[in-house]
Amino acid sequence: MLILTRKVEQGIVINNDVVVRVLSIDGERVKIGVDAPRSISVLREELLEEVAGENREAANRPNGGTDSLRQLRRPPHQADSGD
Amino acid sequence: MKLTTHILGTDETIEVSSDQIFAFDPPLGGFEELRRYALIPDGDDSPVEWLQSVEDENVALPLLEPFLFEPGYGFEIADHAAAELGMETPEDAVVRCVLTLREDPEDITANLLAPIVFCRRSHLARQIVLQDSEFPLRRPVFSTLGLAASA
Repeated sequence: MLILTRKVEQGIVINNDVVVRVLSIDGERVKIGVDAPRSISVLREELLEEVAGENREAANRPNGGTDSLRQLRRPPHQADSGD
Repeated sequence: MKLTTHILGTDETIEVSSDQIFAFDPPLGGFEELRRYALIPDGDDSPVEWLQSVEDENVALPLLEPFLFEPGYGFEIADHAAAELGMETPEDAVVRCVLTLREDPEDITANLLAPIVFCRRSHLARQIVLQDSEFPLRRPVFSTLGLAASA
């Protein structure tokens, strides 16, 4: 892992097209600006962990979970629309 | 190919065709070691499908078409992601969201924040975590799809 020290308003450039800049520091909170092409996905790390956790929970069927699933039905107006 | 599944709670061997198999790259979050899944209908009158791992019979996630209960649902698939999925036309994309089941049907939620996009042309698929999205990780679906009102 590369570790750099930066001051407010200083940035780092990744692969020529992603700029990460420290915008402000307030106690333990650091505001960071990320300037990247639209093709680069930029997400908070904990969001990915939440999604992975939800996937694991979805694969783990609780008692009665499959029974409760049987109570879901297509809305009437959608019933005949094939996909 | 034959596949063992526990979707119904007991061991069951079902036959799936190559049409039903999709490869995830990158893999589904939480299941980094699994790559191939079969898309299996739950039943004739059920809106649900199952994403059954080919490699681990114990991993199966229920899926729902988001437009059934969230008519305004939509998001943009980035050009590079569409290309990596092998999509050539918008009709190649099949969008599903993951359901989290709970004992009380009213507590069933759908993950609208991270839909799964299947490309029926390439048979590649991936989960896309939406950036800056107002759609939630846990959206209750029973009020829209449940039998409570008509029972």
